[in-house]
Amino acid sequence: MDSNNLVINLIHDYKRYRDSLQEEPRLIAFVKKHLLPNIHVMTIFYIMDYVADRIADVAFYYRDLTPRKVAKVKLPPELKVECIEPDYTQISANYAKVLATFAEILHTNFKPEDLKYFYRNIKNISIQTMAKENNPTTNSFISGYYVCNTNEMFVLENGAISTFYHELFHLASTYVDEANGTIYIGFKQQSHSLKYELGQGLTEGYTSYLAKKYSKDTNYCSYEFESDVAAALEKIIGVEEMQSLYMQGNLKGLIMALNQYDSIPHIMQFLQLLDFYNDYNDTNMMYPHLEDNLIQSYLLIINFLTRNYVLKLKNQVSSMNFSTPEDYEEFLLRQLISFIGASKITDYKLINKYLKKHLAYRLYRDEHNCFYIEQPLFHKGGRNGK
Amino acid sequence: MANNQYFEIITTDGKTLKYQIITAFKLASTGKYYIVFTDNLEQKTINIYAANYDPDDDTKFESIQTEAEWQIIKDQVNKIFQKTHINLKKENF
Repeated sequence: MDSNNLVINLIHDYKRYRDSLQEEPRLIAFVKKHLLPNIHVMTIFYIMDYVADRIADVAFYYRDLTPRKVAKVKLPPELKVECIEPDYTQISANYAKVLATFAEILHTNFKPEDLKYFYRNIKNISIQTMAKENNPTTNSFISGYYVCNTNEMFVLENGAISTFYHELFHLASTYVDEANGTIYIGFKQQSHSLKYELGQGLTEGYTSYLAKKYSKDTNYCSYEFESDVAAALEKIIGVEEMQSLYMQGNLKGLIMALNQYDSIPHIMQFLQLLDFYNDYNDTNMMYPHLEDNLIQSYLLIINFLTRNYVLKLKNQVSSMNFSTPEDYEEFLLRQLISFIGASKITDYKLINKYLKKHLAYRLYRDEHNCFYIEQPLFHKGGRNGK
Repeated sequence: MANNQYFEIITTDGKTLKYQIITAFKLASTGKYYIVFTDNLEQKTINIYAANYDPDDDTKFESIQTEAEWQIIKDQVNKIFQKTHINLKKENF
């Protein structure tokens, strides 16, 4: 052992001895009476105390990297996220307060590892105001948008907070992978070349759902059907997991989570149908020839959600006890009505048009004023007779 | 201490080693992330190790390059140990 370590060990021993003296009042009294009055002894004790207090503990620093051959490091989540709050006034003086409030909402409601993209993207975001813009193709107003390639955000000057939150959730869930040329935004995956894209409908729906939920703006109305679908999907997957998958841009994780209830082809079809609905649903005037397709996609989406929610329910209730089979059926039915109520079939006119044309389905309204669709027990195309 | 937190290192020959984190911080002057850790906190002589890490890259784990960085690390460690050290009050003498 070298001389440095010898001294350190000596002082460490002195500290321990000194600490232990607290248990020996008679010894302390003896020291005070017979030793300390001697100036030399007192000086030695003073110096040793002074040095001992400044060497907090015995520490030996290894300068070389230890261990040497590191393949991978598994750090706790808190160390993998740079949770250093940026100065929001430097980002945007106009919106500093909104940004700080939004960050606080994220801290409170999301896991630290889910905030990685938020802290990365917020650092160099450019937020600009824009005049009210009318989208000429769909005849609906655009109140804000986020451009991931340039990390720019455009919002209406006096627009609603919920709209701002909508774009901030896009920012918080966006990752651009330059290496493989893929853009991940929530549940959307898109190639740089736009050669392929999937998950736009669900992403806009869940983003709107989160914006409304956390801004507490009950009047917020954006991507209504997609938002209701996302809310219903959250009931199947679970709030925490769905939020985490969204914030990490993990579409694959979402598909795997649904795979425990349904097949991959069905899940892919669901996502594609919602994308189709998202692209064309606001265009009754522009694309009338797609009306039947829209209705079909609408019904298939609802059926997908219902089927998988029933499967989840059946898994949950398998361990519950019911007095009679009727009790079991009633429980399932009530859960199902509540679930479909959450998905809120909002485009009633579209449903009625389909019903009148094909007469293949019956539409019921329950005591909670929620609609649901049931296939009849007669041939498809026959009248809804009794 | 970082709330008695641990982390693991997987070596190139497949071993998993567990260490206790003493502290972790980012230096504004260098822009680097530092982690200070030990494998024997309860012992009389504590082994202190330190490295640079990257929150976004699990494979990046590098040695400390400069004496200035080591001095900052030692200061940080001393501050932490001083807070947890039990001091005997001088009026007992």
